[in-house]
Amino acid sequence: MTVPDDIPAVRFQDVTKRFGEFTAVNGVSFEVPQGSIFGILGSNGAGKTTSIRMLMNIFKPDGGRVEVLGAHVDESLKPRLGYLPEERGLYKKMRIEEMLRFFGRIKGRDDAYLKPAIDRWLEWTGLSAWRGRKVEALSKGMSQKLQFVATVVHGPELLVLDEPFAGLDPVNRDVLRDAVLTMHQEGTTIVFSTHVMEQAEQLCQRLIMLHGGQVQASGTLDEVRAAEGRQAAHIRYKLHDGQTLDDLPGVTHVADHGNEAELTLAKGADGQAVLHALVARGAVTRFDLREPSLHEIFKRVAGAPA
Amino acid sequence: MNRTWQILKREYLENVRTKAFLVGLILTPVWMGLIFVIPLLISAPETVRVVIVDETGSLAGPLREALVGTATDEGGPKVPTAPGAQPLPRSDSRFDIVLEPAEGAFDPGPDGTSRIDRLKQEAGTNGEYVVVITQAVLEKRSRKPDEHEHGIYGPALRGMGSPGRTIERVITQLVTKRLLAERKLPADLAELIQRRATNFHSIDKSGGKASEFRALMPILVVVLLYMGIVGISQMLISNTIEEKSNRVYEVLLSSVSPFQLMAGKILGICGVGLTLLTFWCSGGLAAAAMQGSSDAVSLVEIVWFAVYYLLGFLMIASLFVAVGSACNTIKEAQNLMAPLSMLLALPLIISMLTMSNPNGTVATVTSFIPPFTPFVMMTRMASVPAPPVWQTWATLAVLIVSTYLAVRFAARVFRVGILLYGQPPSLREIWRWMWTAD
Repeated sequence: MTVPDDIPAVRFQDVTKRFGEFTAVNGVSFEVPQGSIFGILGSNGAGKTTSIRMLMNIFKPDGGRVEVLGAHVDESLKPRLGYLPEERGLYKKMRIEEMLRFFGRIKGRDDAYLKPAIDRWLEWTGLSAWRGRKVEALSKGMSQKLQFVATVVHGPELLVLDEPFAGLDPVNRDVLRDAVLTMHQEGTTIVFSTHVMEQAEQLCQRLIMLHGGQVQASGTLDEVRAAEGRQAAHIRYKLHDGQTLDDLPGVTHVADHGNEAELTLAKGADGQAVLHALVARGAVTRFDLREPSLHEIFKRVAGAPA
Repeated sequence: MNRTWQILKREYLENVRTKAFLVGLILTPVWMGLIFVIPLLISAPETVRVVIVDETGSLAGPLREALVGTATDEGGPKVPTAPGAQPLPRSDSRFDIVLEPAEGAFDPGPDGTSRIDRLKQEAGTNGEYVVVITQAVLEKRSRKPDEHEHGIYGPALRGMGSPGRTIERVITQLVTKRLLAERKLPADLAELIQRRATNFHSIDKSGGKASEFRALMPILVVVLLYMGIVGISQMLISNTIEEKSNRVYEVLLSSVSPFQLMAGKILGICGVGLTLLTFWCSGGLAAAAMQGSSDAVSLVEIVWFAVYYLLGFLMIASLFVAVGSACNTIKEAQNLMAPLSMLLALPLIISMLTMSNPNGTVATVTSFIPPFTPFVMMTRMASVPAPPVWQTWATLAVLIVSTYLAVRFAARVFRVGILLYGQPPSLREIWRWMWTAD
């Protein structure tokens, strides 16, 4: 079953989810183009997992509409999706190959499809020799890889990853990133959530930033940065005695690390004026004026009242 | 459907492939067998020491002879065969008789205790019997104030029987015979008085003579049903909690709905119980058939057993799955289980109570109380008389409806519970989930 290219892989229309008195997701709308890598960004409690669970039909929205692969979300879509929840787990007592076959079968795949897929993925993870062993025998890193394989072994059209990089060591993080990029190249749409902005910056083409259950920013990376409308200056400096970074013209916020600092500039502030003021106070060995990073935007968003 | 089947299959295979399953499969009947076999082993003729103190000097001899003749080992009882002689009671024990002189036996010694007292103390320590015979015994009356106290002293039970009762009956028969002779009455009068004029036969529902095995049926079916339902479905608590703490549920929810997941789990474990019961029952029936008890069960009863097993299992397993899904640790579950286990012990007790009066008020009323229905009705089905037909169908209707409701409520608790970590929900919260629509 293919979906026409112009239909978004995921569409949230004014979606709201409440738990008792608490509104976890409040009027969220966004679209995920087919074949893209889409980031859902936000701090803990921003509504990322709740949004993803509604996407997966695990939660039902209290208001609005969730469409996945061109259809109103329901159980019948699940075989076409792959989902790696934030809280992940495997059947520890099962043998690796047997467990992967089980995860493939509950997605409706037959053994003719699964056999080569399992072989391929086990080779990718380097677990081929372990296929007959029990899951509990694996190291933590190995079982994290296996968890990912269990998510994708059935060949999903849409891959949903909730905080996929959390708890991974740097090596496994790169392995997972490569796997995600490979699937992306093969045409799989990827939606992932994270609170680590650097990862989003590296990976996603489009994103939304959630805070307090509401969308604070959305679009492509460039659109989000441009919408922020302000710049940041990364500096390396050594001030004259008695001088400080206080009260620089056009600077709204200073994140001082000692030898380096990030200066957030007010909307429309002149970078050159800031540099002049700095040079007057000491030696500036680096002055890097650029668009704000997602991290800075995120900090502003998360700091702002929801 | 296919997804539920996959979950079911996995659950079944995972539990059937464990060593614990094999152990349960084989050891349970062995253990049940031991309960029956061990007493038989214990009851192998045992030598019981009997000390006789006979003040009259006339009964000890005949008593010794008679007691030695009661032992049933080697070729059966050596019952006196003289015409008119009354048969002696049979005993599983072999008696080792010691005749203790009665002279001075009752006189208190320097420490205030008599020889009789010391004999009783020894009997208490060694499990012996002390028989004290006085003139009052020969006349079948209680003693006069100036006479010594007579009686048989010893432990209540030894082996399968009570040697004390055997001695009591033997003495009674001997004395009766003697008294009849004194009165010039025929010696067989005593036997005539004691002899049964006819015999009682227990029958089955069709009026045929019920075998011994058949008579045990009401107990057997309810114990099997109880083990199959309550024993097996308890696995679902720990199993649900374990998988919840493994965090595997949300992964599964990306493929199946919560209801499919719950249904697959319950039916998978139900299959485990069904495997065990089928194995045990066919083994038991085969053993019964070999012993010639071909009337052990009817096909109709097997069908009803299956119906009650399935419905009862669904109802009680739903309860356990709900409890398991709401808890994070076994310890939390145990707190919730404490009141539940007391409730769940009731069906077994009530079924036992209804056995003697299968159509009485208690049986009829409890048949209509859902958690008890399968157990009580199964007991009644296996008993005589059979329950009225209308009750059979009415209780089945109650059972089906309540099972359906139990499954639905459990599904609602399960759906919320499996994704909930941290503080366990209060009963009030669980109550609220139960009434929250999908």
